Amino acid sequence: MKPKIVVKNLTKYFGDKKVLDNISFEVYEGEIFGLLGHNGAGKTTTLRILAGIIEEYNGYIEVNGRIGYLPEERGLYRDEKVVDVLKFFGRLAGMKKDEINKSIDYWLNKLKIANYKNFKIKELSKGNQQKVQFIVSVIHNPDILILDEPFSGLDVVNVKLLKDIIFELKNMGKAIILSTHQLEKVEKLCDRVLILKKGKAVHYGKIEDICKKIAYIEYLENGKLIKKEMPYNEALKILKNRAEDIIKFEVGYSLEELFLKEIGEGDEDRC
Amino acid sequence: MKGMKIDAKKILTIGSREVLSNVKRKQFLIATIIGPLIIIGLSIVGSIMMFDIKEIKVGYIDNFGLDIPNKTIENNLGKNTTLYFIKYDSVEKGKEDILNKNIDALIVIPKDYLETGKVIIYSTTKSPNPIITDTLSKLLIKKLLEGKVDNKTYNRVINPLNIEVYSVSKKGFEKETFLSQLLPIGFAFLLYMAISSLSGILVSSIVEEKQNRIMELLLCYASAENLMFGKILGISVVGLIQIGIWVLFALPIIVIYAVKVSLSIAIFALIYFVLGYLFYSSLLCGLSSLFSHPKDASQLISPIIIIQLLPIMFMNTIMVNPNHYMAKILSYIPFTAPYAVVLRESVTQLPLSEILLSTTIMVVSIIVSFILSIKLFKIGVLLYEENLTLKRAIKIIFKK
Repeated sequence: MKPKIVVKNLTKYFGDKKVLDNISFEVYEGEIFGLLGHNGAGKTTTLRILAGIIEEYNGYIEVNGRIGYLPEERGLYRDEKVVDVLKFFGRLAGMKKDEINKSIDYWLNKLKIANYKNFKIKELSKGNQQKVQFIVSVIHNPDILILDEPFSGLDVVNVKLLKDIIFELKNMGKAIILSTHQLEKVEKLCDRVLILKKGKAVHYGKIEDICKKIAYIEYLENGKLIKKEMPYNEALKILKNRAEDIIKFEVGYSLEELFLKEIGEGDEDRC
Repeated sequence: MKGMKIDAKKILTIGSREVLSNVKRKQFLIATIIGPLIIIGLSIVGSIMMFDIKEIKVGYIDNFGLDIPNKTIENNLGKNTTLYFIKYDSVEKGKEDILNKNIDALIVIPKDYLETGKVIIYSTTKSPNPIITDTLSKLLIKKLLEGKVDNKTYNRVINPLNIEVYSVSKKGFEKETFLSQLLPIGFAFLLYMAISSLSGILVSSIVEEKQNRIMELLLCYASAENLMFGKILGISVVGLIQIGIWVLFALPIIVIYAVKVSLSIAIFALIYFVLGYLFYSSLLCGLSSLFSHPKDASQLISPIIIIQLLPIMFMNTIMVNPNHYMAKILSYIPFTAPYAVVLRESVTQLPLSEILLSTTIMVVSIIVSFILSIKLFKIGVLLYEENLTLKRAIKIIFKK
């Protein structure tokens, strides 16, 4: 299957500071791909590069399809009507008038805010503004959807609604890149993830494979009890070579445990 | 999604949104219609009020022998104002009566007035009422010429110049009216008001979009170039609507007083309005993108707007001596050229070489300004710093 997004050796500097260090990944259609990392790990910079907002970088990027983008920094024209804002972005995306009108009605109904069509943005609740923002990212039926913290500001009911829509879009064959701090959602939603630490890719692949990569082992060495976390392959070697000394051998963490152990405290600088 | 860097459809979409959102704003209505109406109304009311004084009481100490009457209505300014003159013997008493509001002013005409021309006026205001000085001037002329000249000569001395001006060009010559002489100044002010007002709209539009965090979303759908061109195009249409409305306001005056508006000057003004606006707007687009708050943006943008005032400050020099080296220099500086050239062209016929040089400088400056601004815009629109200073902004630009 041809990937919708190919990123090879992506490196980005801000001045002297390297904010992305040689990262590579691919995203396929019908896939939800998670981009994880602490604040300042380089997630937003990666997403902005993919969305074409940052144009200067080193490396190779291939984007096969139209992109829809929900940025982390949310904002709309507060004094304008919902329908006018959506029409404007539809026109900007190159859609025809009737396509725009159909799409607006479809998405307003889908997100249960059709009654607010002629309301000004500033008259909507924060959650409903967030829904309008989501519609802006999908109004033009993009092939690739980039969602930066899509659940922030939504209540439980609307988080479920949005999750269902994301799954629906995945089933329609869209390639979805999701960046969020809510790791339990990543575990439930994402097929594969890329975990960034200070601009470097530390893990990439299926969540279950990544979580299995770390093992916890307790064994006796010269009569002394050793307790260690180590890569699964190294732990496996110990298990094979000195099976008689092994007291405990555990494989796999939850994504949250792995994240805390591997990533630790992040760099709070914004990228 | 972006495709080509320049996409006419996207530029038009962004531009049309700018037009619609700006003309619907209360600020536009105020700046375009209500504001000028208030200014015109207040200046008319102000000038009426200035001379709408029924009586003025003036104390005087006449050591020259002017034979001041008890009251007079002879003045050009306050047609309905009666001046009452009250004789005083001491300056101290006069000052006291001014403070007690018994009189409005005290005039002291020294004995040696003829040698020095000196007259002392005491008043609570920093400058005396022009009705008093005008009347006093007439009384003095009358006294000086009494019995020495006939009535005709006396009237000519009072009003020595009744000027008729004819402008001479290769096509012939034509009579200029007072209003037609004011026209170049009107053009310069119109240009200044339009460029200042549009620059303000442009800056607030960009800063507002940054403040509302829409920029990032917009940049996903349109390149920085398209966004900038769209904004500039849209706001320039807003400007043309604004100028159109102002011209409509001025139309009755032009028709009633049969003011001849030279087509070449009008074309000149339009061309230099476009050039001036493109230069200022491209520059301000880049600079204002650095700021997330209007207050921060105004620190940097105000000096640029003030530079525009230079030719207006030198307006007298330019109009009296349009070929003065200062007038020429101002015609070649992109910040001031639109005003200087329009002012100069309206009082004289500029050589083609000068017009071409000035226009070329403007066009090159616009191109350079656009290139620099697009670079700045790309960095600036994603920068969200509080209390950004110019020094910090420069540091960030070079870091990025």
